[in-house]
Amino acid sequence: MTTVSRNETLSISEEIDVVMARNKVRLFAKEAGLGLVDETKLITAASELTRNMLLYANGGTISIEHVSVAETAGVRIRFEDCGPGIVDLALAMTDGYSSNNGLGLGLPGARRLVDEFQINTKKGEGTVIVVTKWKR
Amino acid sequence: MSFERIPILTMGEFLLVTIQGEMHDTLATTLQRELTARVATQGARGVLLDISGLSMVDSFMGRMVSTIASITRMMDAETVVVGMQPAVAITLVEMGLTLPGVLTAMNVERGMELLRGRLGFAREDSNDYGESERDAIDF
Amino acid sequence: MSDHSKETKPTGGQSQNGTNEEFYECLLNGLSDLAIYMLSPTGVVQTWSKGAQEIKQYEASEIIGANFSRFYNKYDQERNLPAFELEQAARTGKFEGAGWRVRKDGSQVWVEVVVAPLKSPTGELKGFVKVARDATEKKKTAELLERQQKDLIELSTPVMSLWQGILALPIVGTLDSTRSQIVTERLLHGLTSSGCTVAIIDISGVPTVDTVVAQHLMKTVAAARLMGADCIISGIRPEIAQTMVHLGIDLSNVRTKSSMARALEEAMALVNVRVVPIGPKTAASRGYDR
Repeated sequence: MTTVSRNETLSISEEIDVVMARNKVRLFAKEAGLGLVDETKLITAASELTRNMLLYANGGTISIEHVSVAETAGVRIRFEDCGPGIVDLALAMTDGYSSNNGLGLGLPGARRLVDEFQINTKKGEGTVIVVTKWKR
Repeated sequence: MSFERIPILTMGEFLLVTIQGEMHDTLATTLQRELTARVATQGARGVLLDISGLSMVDSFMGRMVSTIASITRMMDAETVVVGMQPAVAITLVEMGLTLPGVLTAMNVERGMELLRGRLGFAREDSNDYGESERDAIDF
Repeated sequence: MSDHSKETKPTGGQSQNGTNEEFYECLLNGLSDLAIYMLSPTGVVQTWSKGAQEIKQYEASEIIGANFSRFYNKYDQERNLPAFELEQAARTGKFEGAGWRVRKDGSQVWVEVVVAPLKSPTGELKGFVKVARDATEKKKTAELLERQQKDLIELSTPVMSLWQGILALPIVGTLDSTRSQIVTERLLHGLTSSGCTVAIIDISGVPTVDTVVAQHLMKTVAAARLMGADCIISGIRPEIAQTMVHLGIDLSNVRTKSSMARALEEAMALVNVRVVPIGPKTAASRGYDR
């Protein structure tokens, strides 16, 4: 059973919000007791996914929460946008693919940095991505 | 915003850029533009990009670093990325961003040595502290 | 328990029911290391056994009629664990779990619990039976073991300075995912704190190298390179080299050496150091040659 204790929601609409999101995630990671490497991985994943929201969906919302299962604590982040959705999800999750002139590491890269990664996307309606990082 | 620019220092033939605190995308793009302009106007032979103050580097910043290295190399100046934190290095590798072709060094001194070596200055500049220390060991 | 058999022996005059009750009561109170008690559908304690008293310290008169959630710590109460256990048991027919509970005097006890629903023949929920066992010792032993294992990993992965600017990291034992992460982190932090620019990772003490292990090693090398350090992997035994080639593991981008000595030679070259004999051969070295 997973329990949620504290959570916070941020709205993302401009570039500087990416910095704010990173700082908030850092705070939650520290509170959950994640090690420095795991903290850095989670912040980096959040940075990637937040920027994606700005680039492809003109922004959205992020909610960050503390979660725990039995004795293990973790941080869960939900990225929600009302953008065009991802047309070819399998392609977007492939290493090296980018529709915006990047290195194509956004989605697959972020997935490798977290312990759990769920994505739900609907063409024309938006995308919801939920990632979780557990304390080791 | 109070941090619109990242200072670029001149050190002889090289340029030193120390990135600290929060990096955001516009800042990264500005740096890339200003740095390449400085390499051109000063005819710099190398660039030291000190990122020891960065606690995270995502794919956007990683890409910026790669781009700076490629552009300066075309202009005959090598770029050395200096002082990357262990957690940052582990994260970049996990993402698959290994920055192939980009020179790296543990600190600014090492980065200078590397650049000098590349330019063939290593032997000429023997009164440098780092070099003389080395000569003492290498009988 | 000498009178146990006497009491349970069926006697002609008594009803079968009465005997059963006595039998169960005896059984419940005889099992003093198990807390066995009944709960109402909402979790109110209905019965109390001797074992329950032993483990939780409450007397039957103090606890019957109270909600069982008082055995839980504040954290578990806040996350609604008591209600979750009952809900799960009612829905699936059983709840099993383990956790820290609070005794009457406030001390902690680690219990393993089973909760089963009691249902009438028509399927109506009448309550629950809860069986809990004090497993504090077991838990403490497990924790100790875990801690020792962690210590062992730390101890079996020393980062040592071999020469000015050169670090060595001999790995002994199996490299799994968790340990690889620890090894990588220790090595990279070792590099930053010592200012060394070359690291030798010796894998002669690693029994097998499969694709996963090789991948971890390559990631470590890549991360060290990003920091500006060079890595040399040494101690690649013939059978390991063969396995790696068979598995199609490409280490061509990684400096590899068969022995630590060879690796050290290369490491010294990387930090611009050369070892030369100091003059004519000494008696000792001649002796060594023969």
